[in-house]
Formats: sequence, structure tokens, C-alpha cells
Amino acid sequence: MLLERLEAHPLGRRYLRFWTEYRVAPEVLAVFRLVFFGVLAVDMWLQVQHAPRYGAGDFNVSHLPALDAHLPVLTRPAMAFLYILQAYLAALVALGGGGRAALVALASLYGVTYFSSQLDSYQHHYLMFLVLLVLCLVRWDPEPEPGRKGATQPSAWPVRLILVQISIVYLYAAIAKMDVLWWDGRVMELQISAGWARDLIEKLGGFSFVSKMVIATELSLAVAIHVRSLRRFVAPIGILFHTGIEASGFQIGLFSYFMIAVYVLVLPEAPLVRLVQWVHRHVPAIPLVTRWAPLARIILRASAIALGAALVLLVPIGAPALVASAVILALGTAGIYVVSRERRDRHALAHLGGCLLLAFLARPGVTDVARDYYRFWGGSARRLGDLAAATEKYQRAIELAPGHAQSHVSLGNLYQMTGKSDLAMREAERAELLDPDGYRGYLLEAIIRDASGEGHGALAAAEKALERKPDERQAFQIASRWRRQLGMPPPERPSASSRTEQRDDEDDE
Amino acid sequence: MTRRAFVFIHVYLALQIALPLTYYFARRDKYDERFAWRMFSAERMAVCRPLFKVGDTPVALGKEFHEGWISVARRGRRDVLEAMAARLCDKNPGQPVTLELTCKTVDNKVETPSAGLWNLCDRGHI
Repeated sequence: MLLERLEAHPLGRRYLRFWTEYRVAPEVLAVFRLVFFGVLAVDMWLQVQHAPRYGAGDFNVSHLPALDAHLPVLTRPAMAFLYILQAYLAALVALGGGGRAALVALASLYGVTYFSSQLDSYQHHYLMFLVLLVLCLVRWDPEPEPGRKGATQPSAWPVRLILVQISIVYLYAAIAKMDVLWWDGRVMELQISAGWARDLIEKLGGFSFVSKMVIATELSLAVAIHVRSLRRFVAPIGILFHTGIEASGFQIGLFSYFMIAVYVLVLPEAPLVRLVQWVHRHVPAIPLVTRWAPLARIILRASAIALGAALVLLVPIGAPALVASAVILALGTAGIYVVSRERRDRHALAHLGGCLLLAFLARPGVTDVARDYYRFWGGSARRLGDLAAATEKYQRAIELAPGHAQSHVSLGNLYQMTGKSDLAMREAERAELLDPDGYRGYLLEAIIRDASGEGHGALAAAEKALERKPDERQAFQIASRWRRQLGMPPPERPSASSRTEQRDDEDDE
Repeated sequence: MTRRAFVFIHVYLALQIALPLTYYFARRDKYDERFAWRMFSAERMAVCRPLFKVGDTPVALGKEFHEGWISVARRGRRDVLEAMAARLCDKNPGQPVTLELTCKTVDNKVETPSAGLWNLCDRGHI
């Protein structure tokens, strides 16, 4: 009824066309899918390190507190498992496997993990949930109806809706900055940490001017993103804007990369279409086994699915990875039957590619996620008083990354707390060796020697720590005390520094 | 476009326009900026200091709650502070739990959203 009424009115017809006549070339969608879900796969893997904070001390507040009493608290192993699964599903979708079912599963799991706890209050994760929700409705491989000459692609209204959502975000982000503190540049001055960015802002006219420019850019992008004739300007400006935010040192996870991925949708189509068509011409078609016998194809698909699941076993975070491997095996197999017959080879290869990516990202030399998973787990256990568990987790972190000095310091501190000063000293020496410019190894040595009454040794180590960090309070206290006891003049007072109030324990997230 | 798609679009948009507006017109906690797209706002830069007391004894939050929750509490988020209070009430039956919450804003003003005057076990909210 309403639709007919809108159709009857010229303005209504124009409004309907805004949704119905929006088209996106399949090649552009393919590039967007690869970039967006690729970034999402990496982001989900990076979340694994934060899993130990969930359920710690049996405390949780979800984003929907009214439901807290009725929902189970998701704990560390469950969250680690769910993040691994989401990383796999995102990589699978990025490479064109799994079909819509994989996307719906990904969006659902993402919603569960995000809304289950306010520990994740990143607004961009909320935005990603909304985008995923709408992406479930996109026709990823819209093909013109066969036999119809000149047939066009079907309407891509979900993509239009995503762009409208981005406009809403820009608009409200600009409204949030309509505040005298933002307007005069004070907020931005506190937020920008990178030295080069501060210098550049000063050269451009100062923080107040650049703050106003940020608001103007957000408002302009909110509108221009929908104007086809402005596309050639919008995408470069938007990408530059988010690249600048990323480079300025903001702690916003992969938000900038997600926004850059979204700008793929508004890049001028023709070059992207040509690029994708060139790739298709020059890279052999994915079903390399087309000419093989049907039985060989089944065996190859099964091998890809099994090999992929086996690769996930290389993710070194224990039980969550083992369970994820089994579930991924089941999902990979089920996916073969969910996707259409002609897409089965692609699904099997996408599954293998997704698992390969996961195993690659999990390698200690590539990301520090597995090491930090155990470090953060150990830090959490230590603060909540479980020193035995904390020691075990730090030992595992060191197994994964023997060259990480801070892990040795944390383990040494634990040994010292439990009266194992020989082992503590061994860790302190290792930390000093691994990071001779860092103060933490020397501070730990000073603490150990101080506790055992070795005045000269404690003083020497404390002074080495102070050379490296002049405002280190504990080192200063040890040095002062032993200098007094040994009849020496007191050390120079540490200068008051803005950093002294910061926590130095890197195991605190 | 199908009728179902048309309805979906407009319900979705109505929610996405209305939800951030609740921050400005209906939310009781200005430090709770979730779902309002207030990235990099001045409120986000405020630093709060929550001081819980059970009876007259200050609570060492680090021994009760994970550092992640303490970080959220230092942003002054009421939902979390109230849940922390509820936890302390459960763990210390019969004893009053109070919260003194002071927040320092970007322009160095000190606000006191909770002065620690009442027992949160009785009242439930800040």
C-alpha cells in the first residue's frame, strides 16, 4: 500500500529509486568481500589474546544488562574458541566459500561475542556487527537473467543501506564533536600521540583548525558518499582520512582498515572491474581439477577439508584450538553440501585457504597473539591470587616466545613472590640479556637482591634501572635505602613526569 | 524491491537514528557512549577514580575484578560500577558498600558523580 503511494508521487518515486536503482558491479563486490572479510579474519584472530579477561573472577556485565541474570557468562575457553571460529568463517567468506550460511553463522557468532560483555566496548565492533547483519542480505554473485539481452544487475539495496549506515556514523560522530573542548582543539591535542602527526597539525594551522577540519570532513563524507558524481573524490578523501587517523597513533584496533575496506564500495568501478577481469584472465580458474575424474575431485575436496582442519591444530592455545579444529572440520564438510554443486571446489579451496591463514597468523613470528593469550591469562590469575596457575601460564608464554624480556620479568616476579629467588634471578638475568636497554630486568634483580640483603648488588642493579628509567619509584626507593645504609649520598630525586602514574605492568590489558 | 525489504530498511534506519539520540535525551550516564557513535569525544577522555568501601575499608579493586573491568570503571560507566557494587554486596552480606567516584574532565574540572553517601546494597544504583 505504502509502496504504491510512494510510486504515485514524483518525490516518492525518486526516493524508491535511491534504493532500487543502486547497482554494484560483481567484481567490486568480490574485491570488497576479499578485503573486508580478510581484515575481519585478522581482527578476530587478534581478539583471541583478550579471551582470558572474559569470565575472570566470575564477573561480567553484558551490553544488555537486563539479560545478565538469564545468560551464561562466556569464559576464556569459550571466547577463544568462538574467536578462532569467527576468524575461520571470515577467511572462508573472504575467499568465496561457505555461501550465505557461513555469513549468517559469522554474523550470529559475532553478535554473541560482542553483546555478551561490555569488556568489548569498541564502537567499531558494534558497527561491524551491523554491517555483517546487512551483508547477510547481499546477493554476492548477482548474474543477469540468462537470455535477456542487456539485462542489468539486480538492485544492491543492502549495499546502499551499509553506506547509509556509514553516513549515520559520520553524522553522529560529528555531532559528538560539537563541543567547545573539541572545537578549540584540546581533545585532539590529548588524543594524538605520534610526534610527526603533532608537528604536521601545527604546520597545518594548529589543533583547533584541524579539529574543525575533522568535523567538516565527517559531515562532507556523510553526504558525498551517496553522490555518484563525487565518487572519484570521496574514496580518496575517505581513505586518506582513515589512513591519517590510523597513523596518528589512536588505539582503535583495526577500525581504520575496516573503513578503508568499506570505501572499496565507492571506488570508481571501471578500473576495479578491469583489474578483476585481468586477474581472471591471467590466473588459472580455481577448479583446477575440472578435467579430473569425479572420484579424484571428491578425494581432493576431502583432502583439502581434512588438511585445513589439521592446520588449525597448529594454533598453539590448547583446548580451544583443538575443539575449533574439530568444529571447523565439521563446518568445512557441511559447507560442501550447503553450497551449490559448481561451487564445491571453490568452497574446499576457500576452507583450506582460511585454515592456512589462521595457522599462519598463529605463528609466534607473525603475531604475538598466542604468547599474549598466555601472558594475559597469567596476569589475570596472578592478580586474582592463583600464583600456581599464573606461573604455569607465564612458562607457556616463554615457551612460545623465549626472546620476550617482559615475560621473563613477569615469571621472575612470580618466582620471587613464591620464595624461589634462584629461579627469579635466572629470569632477571635473561631479561637483562634480552633487553639490555630496558629497566625491568634490573629492577627485578634489585628487588631480589634487596630482599636477600645484598646491599651492594641491590644498589648497583637499582642504579642501572634508574639509568634506564630515571623516574622508576621502586628502584629509587631501593637505591636511597641502600645508599643511606652504606653511608653514601642519596641519589638524585626523580623528576616528576606525566608517565609516573601510568602502570608499567604490560600484562595488564 | 519487495515489501519485506522496504520494511526492513526503514525499521533498521529508524533504530539506527533513534538509538544514538537516546544518549542525548534519555541516557542517565554521560560516560556511557555505547551505540551513540561518539568516537574520540571529550567524555571518552575523562579519567575517573572509583573508590569502593565495604564498611569503612577501601576495596582493592585489582584483587576483586579483572583489570579490564577496572579500566571500564575508570571511564565512569555506571552499569559496570553498579554491577561491581552488587558483587561486593553479595560477598560482604550485612555490610554497607559505598562508592566515591570522582572524574577529571579534559578541561581539568573535577566532577563527583557519586559522593559515597549511601549504601549501594540498599539503593542498588549510583
